[in-house]
Amino acid sequence: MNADRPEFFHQQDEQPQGAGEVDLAPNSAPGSGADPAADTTTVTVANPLGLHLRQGKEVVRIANRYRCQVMAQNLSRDSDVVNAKSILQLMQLQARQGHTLRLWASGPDSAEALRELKRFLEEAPHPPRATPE
Amino acid sequence: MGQEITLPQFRRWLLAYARRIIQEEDYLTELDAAIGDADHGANMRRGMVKVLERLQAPDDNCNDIGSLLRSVAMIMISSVGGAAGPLYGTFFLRAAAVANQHRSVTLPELARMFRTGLEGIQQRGKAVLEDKTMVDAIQPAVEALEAAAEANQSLAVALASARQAAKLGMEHTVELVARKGRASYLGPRSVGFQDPGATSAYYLFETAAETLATPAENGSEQGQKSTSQEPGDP
Amino acid sequence: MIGLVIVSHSHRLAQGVQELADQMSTDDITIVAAGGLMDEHGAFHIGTDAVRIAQAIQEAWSEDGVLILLDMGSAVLSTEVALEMLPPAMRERCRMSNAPLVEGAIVAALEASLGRSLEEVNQAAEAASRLQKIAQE
Repeated sequence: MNADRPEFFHQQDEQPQGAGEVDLAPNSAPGSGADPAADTTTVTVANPLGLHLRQGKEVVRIANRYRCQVMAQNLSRDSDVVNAKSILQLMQLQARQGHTLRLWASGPDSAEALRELKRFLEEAPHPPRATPE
Repeated sequence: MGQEITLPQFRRWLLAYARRIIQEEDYLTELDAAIGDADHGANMRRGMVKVLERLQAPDDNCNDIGSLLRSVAMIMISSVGGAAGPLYGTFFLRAAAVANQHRSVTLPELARMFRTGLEGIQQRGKAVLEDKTMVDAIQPAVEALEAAAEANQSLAVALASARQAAKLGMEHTVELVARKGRASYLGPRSVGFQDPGATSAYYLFETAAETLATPAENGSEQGQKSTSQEPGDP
Repeated sequence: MIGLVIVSHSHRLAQGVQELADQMSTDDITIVAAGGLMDEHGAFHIGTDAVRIAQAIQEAWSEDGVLILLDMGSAVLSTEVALEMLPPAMRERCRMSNAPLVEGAIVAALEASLGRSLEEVNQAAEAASRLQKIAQE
């Protein structure tokens, strides 16, 4: 685990459930410093409006359905690594259409979580769609 | 001194207070324009119009002093706004709790009602003496009432000294630097202006001295009618 | 599922924040607006009304608690008076949030709909005060 975590990790509300923390240096090159056990994938934001509030809400909802911890970084902005289960952190990515995000998930159901998030972000049909609960 | 203050007297006091505020709306607004939002007059008037309406209704359903003060509190809470609404509302609510089920109170009980009301204001607004707030008028008045009660003075003397203490306290706010509320943004520039909250609070004791020391006239159970020119019964 | 109450000096602002927050939550979260001060003609003025706030808390009531988001100044005083008017058992399950009203309500609505506890939702909402809004290009 690396020592330098993005500052707002420390301020963050909840400690996501799941296996050990994913500790990442801020502004690190993709993947560097990630929990070696974490699954990872990159996605390109398809929504013309970017990762806006309502779409962010869906990402948070999806991520929260899984037990694994889910982290995200906007590679196009070289952003901090954030907790994808928190809407505030997700908004910090300032992700626009065409931006590349890297997602990490660690925990028992990480592969499924990443698959669903990737599908959602890359398809991103019409933003305000009903929550599949 | 077994003098008691009765429910009709309280009703007469609150009517007098409401009319006094309505009459002084422009003055309160002018004071507030200097160091606040210029809305204290209008805010208080809005509440007092409703108080008048309520107290002049043929049946206000207030059968004891507690419920009378509580109904005034609710009106102030829900129609005055600003900080004054919740603060005066708290004052009357707390005083009402002391007078619950009472159809009359003695001077020591009145002092306790006002003391409890003051404590509510201070708990809520976190203001102390010399912060240039309503507390500067109310606290000296409460202390004067308590001292008079302690010394077994008559109701009239007690209320007159409370009025005088409130007046001095109100006037003293001119010299003070505001430390609470909107006026505190002005810092030292708030000196030289009388606090509008202390002024509207002074009227409580001014009207109390005018109404609570003398028995209500016969036939005025519902408080006085606001105007004598009203087309009355034949 | 906790309930949410939006307190503002402005009736329309409270309604607008409620509208936004509703977008972030689900049907099982009750969000009630208590903004402004109604005069004798039914028109709204700027101000806060503890009686309406107390009613809003009762409307939003849930055994899991009610989080109250407010703008500032006397909204706090009025909410305190409102809490004082409620039965103690109810009052104990209500929290006034220090969160910024708009951002806090958005976060709280989403967090509440995820089934988080009163304390968790409040913490998440209060963290909104540190939100960086402008993209660092």
